[in-house]
Amino acid sequence: MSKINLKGNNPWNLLFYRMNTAIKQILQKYLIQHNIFLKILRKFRILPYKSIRTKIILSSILLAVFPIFIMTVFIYPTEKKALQDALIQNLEGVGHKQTELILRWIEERKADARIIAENPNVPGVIYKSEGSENFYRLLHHLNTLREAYGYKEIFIYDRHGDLKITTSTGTVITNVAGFEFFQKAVSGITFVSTIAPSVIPLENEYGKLELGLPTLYISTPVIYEHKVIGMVCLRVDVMEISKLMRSVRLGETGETYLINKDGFMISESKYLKDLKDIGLVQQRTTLELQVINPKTGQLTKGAEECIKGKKGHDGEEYVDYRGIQVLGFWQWIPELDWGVIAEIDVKEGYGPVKRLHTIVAPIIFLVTIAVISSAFFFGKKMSDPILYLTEITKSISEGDYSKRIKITSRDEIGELSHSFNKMASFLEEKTQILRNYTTNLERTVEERTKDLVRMNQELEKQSSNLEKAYKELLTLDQMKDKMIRDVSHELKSPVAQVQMAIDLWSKEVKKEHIDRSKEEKFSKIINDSLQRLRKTIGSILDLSVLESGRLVFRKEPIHMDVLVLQTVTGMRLLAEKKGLALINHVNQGLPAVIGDKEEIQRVITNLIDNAIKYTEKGEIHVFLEQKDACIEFAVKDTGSGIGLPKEQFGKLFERFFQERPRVDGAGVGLAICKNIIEVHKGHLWVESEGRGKGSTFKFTLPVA
Amino acid sequence: MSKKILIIEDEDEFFFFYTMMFEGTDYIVNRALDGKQAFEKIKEDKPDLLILDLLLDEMTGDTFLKQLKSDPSYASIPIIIASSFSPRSYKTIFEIDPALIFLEKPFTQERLLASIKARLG
Repeated sequence: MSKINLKGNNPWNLLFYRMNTAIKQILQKYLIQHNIFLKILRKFRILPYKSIRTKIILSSILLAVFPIFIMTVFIYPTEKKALQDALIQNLEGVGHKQTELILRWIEERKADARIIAENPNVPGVIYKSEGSENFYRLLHHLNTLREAYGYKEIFIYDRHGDLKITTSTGTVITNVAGFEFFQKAVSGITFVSTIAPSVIPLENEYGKLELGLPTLYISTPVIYEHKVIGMVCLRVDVMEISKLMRSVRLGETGETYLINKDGFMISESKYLKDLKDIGLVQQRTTLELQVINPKTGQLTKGAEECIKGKKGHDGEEYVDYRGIQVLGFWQWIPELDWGVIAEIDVKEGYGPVKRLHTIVAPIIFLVTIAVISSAFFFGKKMSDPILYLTEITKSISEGDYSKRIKITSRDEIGELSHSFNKMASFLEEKTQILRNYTTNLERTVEERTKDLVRMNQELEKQSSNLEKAYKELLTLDQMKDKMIRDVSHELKSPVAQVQMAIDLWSKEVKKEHIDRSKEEKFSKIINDSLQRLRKTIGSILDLSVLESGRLVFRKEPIHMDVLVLQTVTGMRLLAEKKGLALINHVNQGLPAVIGDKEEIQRVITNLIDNAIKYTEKGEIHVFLEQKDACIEFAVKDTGSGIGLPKEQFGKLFERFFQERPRVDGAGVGLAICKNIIEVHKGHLWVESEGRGKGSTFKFTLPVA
Repeated sequence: MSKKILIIEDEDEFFFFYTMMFEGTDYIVNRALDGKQAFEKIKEDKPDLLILDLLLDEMTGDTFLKQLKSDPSYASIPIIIASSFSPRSYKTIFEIDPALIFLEKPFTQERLLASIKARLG
C-alpha cells in the first residue's frame, strides 16, 4: 500500500485513502465476525475438528486479534475525539488571534488616519486647497506616509465632501458627500467602511484598472477649533488584510479568511490559483467568492453561522467553498461587521491519525497474518508431538508394540515420550513373554486336549463298556431275579405237587370207590417231584460249593474213552425212551487226562442229558478224539439248536440261564459243567447253526 | 349252560390235579400250554373263566394278562391266578386286574371250586 501523499487534494490520494479505509473496515468487520463466529462455534461446540491443534491455533488467533478488535472499537473513536478537540482548540486559537490581529490592525489604521487628521497643515489645505505651500508640503507628507504605510491612497475632504488633497494620480471621486464613510467621519466618528467594490476604476493588484475593485476606506474627522472642518480618508490596501490573514500559518491546508455579512470573502483565499483554474473566480476571491458549498449552493456552515453573529466551531466536518471537508472555527467581529473563519482540511486535521492508521492498518493486517501464521505454525509445532504421540499410542493400543516415539525435546513432551517408550518396551517385552507363554500354553493345551480327547475316547469306550456292563448287569439282575424265581419255582412247584397229590389221594381214599389207577399216578407224581427237588437242591448246592471252592477235586488219571463209553451206555435207555438214537464215535487208546472222574462224568452226563432233553427226534452223536494236546469231547444233537446269535452262546453257560423253557432241572447244569471243565484247565463251548438246526456241545481237557 | 374254563398251565402234573378236582363238576375245561396257545384258544372259543399260571416261558403271566386286558373283547373274562408264588411277590398283578383271585399252589379242591364260584357267580 503506497503511502498517502496528503499534500493537496490529489484525487489519487483520495482513492488510496479510501481503499485503505475500506480494507481496514473489511478487516475489522471480518475480525469481528470471525471472533463472534468463533464464540458462537465455541458456545455450540460446532468446531468441526476437535484437535488440540485447532484449540491452540484458535486461542492464539483470538488472543492476538482480540486486542486489535478492542483497539479498533474503543481506542480509535476516543483518539479521534481527542484529536478533534485539539484541532478545534487550535483553530479557535488561530481564529482569536486573527481576530485580535485584524482589530489591532484596523485600530492602527484608524490611528494613522487620526494622526494625519491632526497634521497642522491639514486645516490650511482644507481652507485654501491647491496651490498653497501647505498643500505641497502636506502632499509630500501624505505620499511619504502612503508609501511608508502602504496605503493605496490618502484623501482629505472638506466638510462638504469636496476633495481637497489626494495622493492619487488617477481617477478620483471629487465629492464623497454621499458616501457613508464621509458622513460617518464628519459626524465625528473614525469610521471603517465595509469592503466594497469601487465606484471608479482603480488599479488592481495586477496593475490594471478595474472598476469594482474591492476597497476599504478608513475615515476620520479633521477637527479644527473644535469644529469638524473635513475628513481624512485612507484607502486601505485590501490585500494587506489578506496578507494579515495569511500571516498565520494553519498547517498545510488550513487558512483563515474574512467574510462580509453577505457571505462573500473579503480576504484572499489560499487557494486562489486553484479557484481561478477551475473558473470559480476571475481575479480574486475578495468580493468575488461567496463562501458557499459548491454542491448545495448554500452558505457553508462556518459562513452561515458566523454571519448570524455566532461564534463557534464544527469538529464534525462540513464542506467548505472548495467542496472539501474541513474543520472550522468562526467568529463574528461586530465592530467591523466581518466574520473570521479558520478552517483546516479534515484530511490534514486528522491527517496524522489517518496516516498513522494507514500505516498501522497494514501493519496490523500483517501482524494478524503473522500471528495467525505463527499460531498455525506454533500450534502445529506444539500439537504435532501430541498428535504423533496419539498416533503411536493408537498403534500400540492396536497391538503393535514395536513403535517408539522419536521426540527428544527436553520439555514435558520429551519426558512423556521417554516414559512412553519405556512403557512400550515394557509392554513389548511382557507381551513377548506372554506370547511365549501363550504358545507354550497352546502347545500344552493342545497336548492336554489330545490327552483329553484320548481320555475321552477311552472314557467313552469305558462308558460304553460300562453301559454294556450295566446292561449286562441289568440283564444279570433280571436273570438273577429270573433265577430266583426259577429256583423258587423249581423248589415250590414239586413241593406243591407232592402236597396236592397227597391231598387228592387222601380224598380219593376216603371215597367208597377208590380209583387205583390214580394211586399210581399220584405216587409217580410224588416220586418224580421229590426227585426233581433232589436234583434241584443238589445242583444248587453243587454250584454254591463249587463257587466257594470247597469242592475238592481228585486228581487221578482218567481214561476218557472208557468213561465216555460207560456213560453213553448208561444213558442209551433214556435216549431210546424218547425215540432218539445215541451213537458214539469214541476213539480208543487216547492218552489220559488228570482230573476228578466223578465230576467229569457229571459233565458228560449233563451234556448228553441236555441233548436228549432238547431233541425231539433224530440222533445224538457222541465224539471223543485227541486234538493236539487235548482230548476233545463232543455231543451233537439234531435238536432245537440254540436260538441265540453266535456271540451270545456264552450265555448258556451262565448260571441259571435257560435258553428254552425249563424242562426238568434248574438250568444250573451248564454253569456247573463249565466250572468243572475250567477247573480242569479245559474249555467248554457250544456250536450251533441256529434254532432248529441242532447243537454241538464240546469240551476239551489237557492231556496229562 | 356249562361254563367253559380255560386253564393255562405248562406242568402236566398240575393239569392232572385240575382234572381230578373238576371231576364231578359240570365245568368244561380246556388247556393251553402257554400264552400264545391261550390266545388262540380264547379266540376260538371264548371261555367264561381263565385260570392262569404265572410263570410261563414265552410270555410271562403278567404280560399275558396285560395283553388280555388291552383287548376289549376279552378284557372282561374273569381270571384266577394259580401260582406257586405267593401273592405278596406279585402285587403288581392286582393293578392290572383288581378283581382277580390269586390261588396259591398248593390249593385244595374246595379252594379251587370256591374261587371259581366267586368269579363266575
